[in-house]
Amino acid sequence: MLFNSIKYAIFLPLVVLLFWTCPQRFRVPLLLIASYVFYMSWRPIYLLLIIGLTLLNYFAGLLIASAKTQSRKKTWLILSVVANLATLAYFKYAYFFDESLAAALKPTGINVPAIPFEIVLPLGISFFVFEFIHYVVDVYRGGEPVKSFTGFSLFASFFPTQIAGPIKRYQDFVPQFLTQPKFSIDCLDEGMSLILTGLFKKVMIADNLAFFVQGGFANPNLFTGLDLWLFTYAFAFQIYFDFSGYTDIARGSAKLFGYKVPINFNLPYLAASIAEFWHRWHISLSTWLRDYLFIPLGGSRCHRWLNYRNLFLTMTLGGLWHGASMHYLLWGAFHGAMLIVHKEFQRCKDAIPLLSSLMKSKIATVASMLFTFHVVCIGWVFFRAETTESCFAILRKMLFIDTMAKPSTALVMNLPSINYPLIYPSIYLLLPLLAAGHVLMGYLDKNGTIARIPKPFKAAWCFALMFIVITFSPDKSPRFIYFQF
Amino acid sequence: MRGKLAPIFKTFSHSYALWAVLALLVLDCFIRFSVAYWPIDHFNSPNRSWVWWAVRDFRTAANKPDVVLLGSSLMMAALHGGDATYLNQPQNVAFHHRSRIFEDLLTRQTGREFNTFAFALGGQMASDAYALTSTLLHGPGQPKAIIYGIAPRDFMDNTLTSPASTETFRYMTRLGGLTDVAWQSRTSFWEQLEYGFARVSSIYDHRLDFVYLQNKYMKGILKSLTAFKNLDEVHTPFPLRKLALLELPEDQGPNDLLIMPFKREEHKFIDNLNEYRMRYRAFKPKLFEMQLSYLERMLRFCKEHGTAVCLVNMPLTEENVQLMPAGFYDSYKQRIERLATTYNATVIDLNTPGLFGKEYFADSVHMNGAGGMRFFKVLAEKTTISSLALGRKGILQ
Repeated sequence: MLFNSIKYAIFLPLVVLLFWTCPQRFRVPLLLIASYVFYMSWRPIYLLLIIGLTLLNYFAGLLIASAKTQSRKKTWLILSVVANLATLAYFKYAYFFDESLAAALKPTGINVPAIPFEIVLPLGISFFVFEFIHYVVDVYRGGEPVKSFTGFSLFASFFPTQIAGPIKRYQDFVPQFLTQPKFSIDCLDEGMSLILTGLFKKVMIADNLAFFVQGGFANPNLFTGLDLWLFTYAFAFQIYFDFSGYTDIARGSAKLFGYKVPINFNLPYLAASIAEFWHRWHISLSTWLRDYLFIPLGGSRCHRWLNYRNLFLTMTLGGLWHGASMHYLLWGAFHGAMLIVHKEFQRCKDAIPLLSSLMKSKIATVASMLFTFHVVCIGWVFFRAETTESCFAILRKMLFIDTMAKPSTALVMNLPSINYPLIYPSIYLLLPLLAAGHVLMGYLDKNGTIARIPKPFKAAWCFALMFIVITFSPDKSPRFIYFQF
Repeated sequence: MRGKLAPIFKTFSHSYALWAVLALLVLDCFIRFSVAYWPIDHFNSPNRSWVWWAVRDFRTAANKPDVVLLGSSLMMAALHGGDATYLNQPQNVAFHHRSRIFEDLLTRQTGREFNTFAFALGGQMASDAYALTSTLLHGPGQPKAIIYGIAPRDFMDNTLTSPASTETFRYMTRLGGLTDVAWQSRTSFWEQLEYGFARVSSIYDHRLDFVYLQNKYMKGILKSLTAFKNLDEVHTPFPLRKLALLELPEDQGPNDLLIMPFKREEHKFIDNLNEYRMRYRAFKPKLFEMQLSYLERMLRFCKEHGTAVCLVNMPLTEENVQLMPAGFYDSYKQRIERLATTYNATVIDLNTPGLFGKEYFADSVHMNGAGGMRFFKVLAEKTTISSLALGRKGILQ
């Protein structure tokens, strides 16, 4: 059941209505049933997986908390983390490991057979497995385990965040069930407003860009370096609006029940460094990686080179988390390398006072933003390319000046469909508008203007969004990008 | 009761989102009552599909056609390839909607002028043929006869989700037809729900009009802002369009497809049997019966309106027929014969051994230019013979 589908448009109001009209003690069980129904709408059999992992981690949490000795606690922790990771590895990485092993052993003449059966990746597995790992690790670190089985089950399966996050923390989320929220009109307003904004981002911007982007990345040989930069810019906005749109719908849906889920994005393309980018992009994942991978590896309180190793490993594994493909791994490694370069630059800056004061100027900040955005865009090529070969082919074209000598005409880029107004008739108008919109939002957010908007303007905004979404939604819409992870 | 509801209304009156919903409902009502006065031409569409181009020419044709040709890509290939070869000049699929060779052959045989019009469209199902006939082929545009080229795929293609999902059916629905089959043509619950929603919400029902208007004004702005004055022609590389059109509604430019004259020395037979294996696989009797019911509706409609119908069983290669489920082809022919007899239609079977050898085919089902020419030659002969034999009002009246 996609958020941007008619099924969800019926499912959500129905659950919201039932939730607020039923007695308080039935609300959490009702949401749990609704979440399981939501999950079963894709492949009912995989409900067993989510229930199985819930049982495992629920009891693991209790066993860790009640264990008398530290070594016993550690044993339960290791067992549960291994079980979670093994599940993820089986569903997500079995083919990748098999193919990589076969390729590695091919020169030696050893033939590794292909996996003879089909493994279908369960929706949202990467997200709920990370939530379970966070839970058992935090209980091991001294956190209070969740006593209510229903509450714990809902923590992982809560349908607004079930498929693509944000990755929640049980300390923030579960207590919200224990202190039942009261219906408030502000929650309704905020929830509806977020859902409409998310739908607008997804249906009107990301989906339109998707049609443009997929053609370019599937046929890079047809295009010049300049064209490929355009496709990459378009993808940068597509993935941002797709994923942040999803997050807005998730947060808005949760808000309709009176629950808060964490934010995932904070205008990431306004970041002035790659480190800042990771504080603004997919925040729930980057903080998870920091807390449960980077810090356990040694974090930054160690020797400089060990710190760099930790950073590189964290980002590379973070890349692999996105998908079992070499290009995701390369994307993660690229970001790891860029973070190391950034740290080195910081060291140089600190050592040279003139450079340090120069970097504080407004021009330098704007230049840093532009530079960071382009570094991120190069990273997106790794992420979006269909194969590792095409990824390097695209990068070669993008970085070699000779291919920029013959830019194609505007009409070559002119995708055909008129039903998709933001792409048709010209991408050239859209991308600068999106970039300007991003900067404007940053400015308004900083000033607090958005929070102070009068209610009539908010009503007009919601009205316009509803009209646009109803009128311009395509009959078919691509899935959210992060659903595949 | 009133006292109890008052605080609830008061609470909800503070919600800006609910005010927005209310405003939308008001707008919806306004559209419902004012839409009759809007300058909306339903023939306008934001996307220009092959059926859009055909309808555009049909509406503006100087003469009412004597004969309308219906059929899927099998008829389309014969029509465009046949004329391109006959006239020895490329035929633009967006604008070529008559069979010159067929007109000339009939004129030669009967000594009088004939006008034809072709609604031969790729993927046309029997339900699409009914949609076109019942929406367009009556009143001022009614032809004397319809020649409908049929093949088993038109009744059993399992890649079809529902009759209402094709571009032809959607466009004919937009033109205001097909209310009689509105619910039954939408086979899934969600399709019916969506249709129901469109009945309830005027905004949703008229969304194509809004998109069309948006596009029209956007084009106007772009024409004045940029150097590009012709924004209708397609310049996007074909692989890019192909990928985009997998997701987007069918949209064809006026320069999208030219069919070249057939040259034996350049001819290459394409093996498309795998595609047809997929189409014929998992035969669904329900789908077959449903499509036959649309054919029956079409034949009944034509009988009631006095339009003669000739069903032409299109030539196929032997290999293609062998892919069909055992016994299906014979049963299909029998059912067609039976329906034709009931509604006084003529059946011409052109898929008989020796009539069309493999040299007349571009692949296992579509004829090449030479095949197209031969097809219309044989059809003209058989149409004359069958009309004379039947001795009734018909194509050669």
